[in-house]
Amino acid sequence: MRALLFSDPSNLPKLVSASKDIAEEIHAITWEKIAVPVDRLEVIKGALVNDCWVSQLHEEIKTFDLMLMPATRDSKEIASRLAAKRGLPYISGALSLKASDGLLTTRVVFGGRGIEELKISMPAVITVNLDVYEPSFGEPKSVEERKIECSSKISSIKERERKTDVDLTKAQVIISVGRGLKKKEDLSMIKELASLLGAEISCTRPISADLKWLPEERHVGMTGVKVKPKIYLALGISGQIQHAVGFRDADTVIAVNTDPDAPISEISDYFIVENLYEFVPKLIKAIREKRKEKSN
Amino acid sequence: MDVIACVKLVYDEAQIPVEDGNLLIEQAPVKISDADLNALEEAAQIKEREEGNVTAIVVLTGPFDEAVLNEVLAMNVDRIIIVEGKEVRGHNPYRTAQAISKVIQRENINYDIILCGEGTSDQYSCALPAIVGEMLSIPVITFAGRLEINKGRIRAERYLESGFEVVEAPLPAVASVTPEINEPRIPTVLQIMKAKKKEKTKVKASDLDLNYPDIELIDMKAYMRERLRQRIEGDMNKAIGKIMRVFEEKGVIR
Ligand SMILES: Cc1cc2nc3c(=O)[nH]c(=O)nc-3n(C[C@H](O)[C@H](O)[C@H](O)COP(=O)(O)OP(=O)(O)OC[C@H]3O[C@@H](n4cnc5c(N)ncnc54)[C@H](O)[C@@H]3O)c2cc1C
Repeated sequence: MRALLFSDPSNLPKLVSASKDIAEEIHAITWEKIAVPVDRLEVIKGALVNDCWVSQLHEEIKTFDLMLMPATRDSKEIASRLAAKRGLPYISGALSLKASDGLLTTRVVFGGRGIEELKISMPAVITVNLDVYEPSFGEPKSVEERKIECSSKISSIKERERKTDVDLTKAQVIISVGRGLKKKEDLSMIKELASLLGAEISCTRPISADLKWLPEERHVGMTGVKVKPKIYLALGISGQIQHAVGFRDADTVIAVNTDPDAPISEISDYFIVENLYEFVPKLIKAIREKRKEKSN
Repeated sequence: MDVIACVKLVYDEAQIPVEDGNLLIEQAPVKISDADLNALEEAAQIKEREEGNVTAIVVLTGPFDEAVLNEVLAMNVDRIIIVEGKEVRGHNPYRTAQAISKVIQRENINYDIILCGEGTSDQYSCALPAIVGEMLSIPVITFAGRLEINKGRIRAERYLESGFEVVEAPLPAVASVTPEINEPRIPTVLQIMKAKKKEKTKVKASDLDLNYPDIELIDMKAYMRERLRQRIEGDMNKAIGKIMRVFEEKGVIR
């Protein structure tokens, strides 16, 4: 099977891993040179908006059995438009891929309450949820670089900010905050706790999207990152399914909430009915004391 | 300024009973897909600012409740077009998008903007708005967290993993909106009563001559994971002690 991969540079190594099991030949397209073990890497510069990629890829896709992209928001738009243009089946946010007289995929549905298995014929277009994959690095067999001119009805007025390197999927300990946090300044207490535990900080969607207290790449859930730490400490998070699906694969989930009936009580290992503003300082103190004890 | 809002009726995912690892979806109540409420609210606000009509298009993919259709109409929607029939049942965003595009053309519905939610509460493929745009050959703007309309142009702040992007396009265009874009109004009982009298047009899917690639549903299961569910209430010292023990067991205190 021949697969064409299209991805932003940072997601490409994981996308290569996702495609290795099912494709014998892999071509990849991105916009910055990156060392990935593919048969052919095409670095295309000059495409500024999704429109440009749709018209560019629409031709390239023709000779492939499968077009794979990461399940990012931009890719989801590009992938569905390509599928529409070519009349191909499209699966969004696939968790797994298996070739069997067509293609079998799984995806999460109902906000995270269900998982379904779907079958489609090939050629097809798929966006893949990459949170479960390890990146693949290596030298491409061949590289081609070119620049394209693109005119589109859609113009980009302000470019997006650059992504940082945080990869929450690798974190062993995660401290996650929700709307139980009252102000942005209170994050300093959370940061103190995180640094004591060597933890990453994540959040619910309202914290990043509505309040913008933390960057978007730190939101966990159906529309954010899916994490798998040893410990997920949820502070002031109600536990709506769209968030909870993001920490499904954590080993141990501890939740602190003032509401004894919060939905997270049903989906955590330890549910602590406390005010996070009293709990966190006491926990910080306890950790400090324990460390002192250990170093003596 | 005429607006079309695409609306999906879905089973309320939070109220689906689970039995032996299976989801009993049909026992859950029906609701308007969450982000479609934001599309409806945005449509109503545009209409209230710029004057014009709001048409809601609902393709019935399974879940149905007449009362929920009235809730749609109660959000200052002028009329609703319902596409129904076995041809549109089940999950296939390509097919649903095609039904919407074809019904717009067949019924000659005027529009300057087509609004959809960023993704539906049940499937969240986020594919439909983009496919509608392709099929009607109009600009597509997805994941808009803010919209502005000015002199026949739409400007949107797209809300992406990597930050924000501001884009602009000429109208007509299709845009999908995020839940952050607005706070959907909650219609009053009176508004819902009045809505019952508004125009509902039914269109048979079999009249739309749909042709699309198939997606075959092989299996669906619950995706839950059992947790210990130990509760500690009213005893802070016990809570801290317990968590410290868990931390030590997991080796996170160094
Ligand atoms: C299409 C769609 C996609 C979505 N995707 C995601 C997603 O990927 N990720 C996501 O997170 N959300 C997502 N959401 C939103 C999700 O449905 C919930 O609204 C959100 O997760 C709730 O966030 P929260 O728990 O921070 O806030 P709330 O639900 O408001 O909960 C706050 C909690 O804090 C508790 N609390 C308050 N004060 C304190 C205190 N002092 N100490 C301790 N506890 C306190 C309260 O009891 C409450 O339980 C999505 C929604 C839609 C419609």
